[in-house]
Amino acid sequence: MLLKNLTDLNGVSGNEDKVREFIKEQITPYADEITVDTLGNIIAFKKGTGKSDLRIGFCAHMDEVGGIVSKITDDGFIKFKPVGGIDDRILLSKRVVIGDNKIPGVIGIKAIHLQEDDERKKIVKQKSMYIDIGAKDKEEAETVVALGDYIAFDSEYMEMGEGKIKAKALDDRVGCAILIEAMKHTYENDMYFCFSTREEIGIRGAGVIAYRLQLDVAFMVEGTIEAHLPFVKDYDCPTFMGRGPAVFHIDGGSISNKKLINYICGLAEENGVSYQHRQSGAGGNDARAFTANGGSCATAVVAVPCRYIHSPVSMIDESDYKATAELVRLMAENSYKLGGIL
Amino acid sequence: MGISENIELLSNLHGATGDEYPAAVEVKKLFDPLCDECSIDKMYNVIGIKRSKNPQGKLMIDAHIDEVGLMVADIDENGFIFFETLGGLDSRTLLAQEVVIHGRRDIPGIIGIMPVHVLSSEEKDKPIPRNKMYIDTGYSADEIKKIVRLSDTITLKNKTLHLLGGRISTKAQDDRTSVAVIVSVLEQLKGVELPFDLYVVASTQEEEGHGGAIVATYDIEPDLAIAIDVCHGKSPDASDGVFPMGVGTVLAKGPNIHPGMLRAVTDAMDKVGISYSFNIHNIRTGTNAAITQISRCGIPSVLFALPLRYMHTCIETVDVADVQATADGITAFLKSIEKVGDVICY
Repeated sequence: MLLKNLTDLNGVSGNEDKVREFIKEQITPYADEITVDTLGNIIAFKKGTGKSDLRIGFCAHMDEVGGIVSKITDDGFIKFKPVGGIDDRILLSKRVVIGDNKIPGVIGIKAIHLQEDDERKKIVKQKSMYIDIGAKDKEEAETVVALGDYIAFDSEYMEMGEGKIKAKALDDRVGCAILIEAMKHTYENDMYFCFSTREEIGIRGAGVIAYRLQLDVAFMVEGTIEAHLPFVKDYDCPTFMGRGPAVFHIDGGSISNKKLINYICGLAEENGVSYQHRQSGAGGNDARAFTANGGSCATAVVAVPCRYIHSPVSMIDESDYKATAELVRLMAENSYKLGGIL
Repeated sequence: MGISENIELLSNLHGATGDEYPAAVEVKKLFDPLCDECSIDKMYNVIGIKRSKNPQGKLMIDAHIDEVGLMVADIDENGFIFFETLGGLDSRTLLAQEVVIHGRRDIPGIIGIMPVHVLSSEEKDKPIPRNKMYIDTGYSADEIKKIVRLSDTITLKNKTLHLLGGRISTKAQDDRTSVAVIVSVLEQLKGVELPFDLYVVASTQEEEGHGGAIVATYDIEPDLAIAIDVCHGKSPDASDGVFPMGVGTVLAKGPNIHPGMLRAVTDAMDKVGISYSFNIHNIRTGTNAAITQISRCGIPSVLFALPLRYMHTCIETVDVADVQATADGITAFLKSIEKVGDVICY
């Protein structure tokens, strides 16, 4: 259960060690060379069976949203800062684990009985929240928690409903899982499979990969916003669960190369893989870094629609995951043709 | 089993208000070996009796086994479930929460959240009202309707966390941890001959009108009643009406409480050196002590309370030392009674 193993690991941006160790172990049999750079990115090189005209790579990010311990109060509560974009409203009454020893804690809020009417009408801001680890005072808390310890959601992988998967960190462990699977096949063209760090705090890891590799073509494999939900108009919904991989045209940081979009959609159509066009420009991803730092690099993004993204209870449809994996394999398999296309 | 294990066992049971039967069956299993008789009544109250050889009367101890929860109100064309609440829940604590829907079979669900990018700036700054929340089960409307009916109950998914210093965070501690108190009291009274029949009641429907306790008290007609419930534990965002964790049990004081009986309780606890604090209630308490006090011709009642943080959420937190102190205090009081009549004199 690759995706279960990946999502149950904690790897908040800047602390991807556990995810990196796992991925390295998984890909070692399929890589000709593995480099871990100073930001902790994994760059795996896979030699092609034929001649390579272009330098081609795939990238998925290893990190997930979470928090970081910023203060321990005199009465033993943990104050924290968010790592990555999290809606304050989802944090109340959630279970978390702190640090490598996974110290359990809860994000508390005083009982409804103690809330004044006007308090109930307001959002509790993250800044005023605290984590309760049961410590009686600062001294006891400091025996198990230190400033700078990373905080992850406590949420386990679960299959539910009709072919749905719930887990934390599906953004972007689902992309990592797809790249690991893709590495098990052989390709004509040389291929770089990259697993980046620190995407969630402003796309910090992928830039140095892009600079190092100077690729001609870079494909991102992501988990992306899905909102086919009550009270949301279809035109507000970037992607739809169950309709296959979402092909990006534009996002908050990059514009996909038109020829690559046509290449991807063409492959999907020829091979009977259902896909969808992502309908929104919201959000950013590592493509921005490849566009900006990678010389003249053409980028494109395909993603698994991910509901309740950046929460402990993200949800994907397994059929989208499988179809995206199939499409990514096709993209790699046919990439030797890209020299002629671009 | 120790108190911690019982807290975990009890909190893992599912029994939203009005749907407590499966939980009652499990609670009966805890009471059975410690009582002379035990039964479940039509309200799904679990009533155990420890008989006296020469009973001067009856003493009843009550804790409630229902928990706050949700109820299926509607299923939309895409299978999303809309819900009502059972008991007082702060809807702000429900977003991105995992739940269990008790349909024809139990199935998991998630209380969904709209992504921020589809919200107007005004909506982003406000809590999402409960009637705009929905549960996502991953099933289509056709499939979910085969499993879930309107009015099925929903409980918060549980995971018991053992925090530092013997503190436990888990759902439904309001008020099942008080059932763990009762079990501890019964264990401490093994082989002890009391001058009264002891009735232990795990009552139902407390969170929506105290239905179980009303019926059980009327039925048992005790001479003395002890209610065990929770009070608010101190946390960084609450300073009024809260009690420190880990320093003992809390006794209610005020017009809802029988002064003579309370004096007998504190005398007994002072004698064996068990500390307590007082929670002053100027009106009726929000507990089953408010029910027992005015049942039939009136029943002298006291209330023990466990300091508990984050009441009515899935992360309710107690200090096991307080739970143990409550059980020890009640045991000391019961053992101290020589004549039931003495206790109820003004």
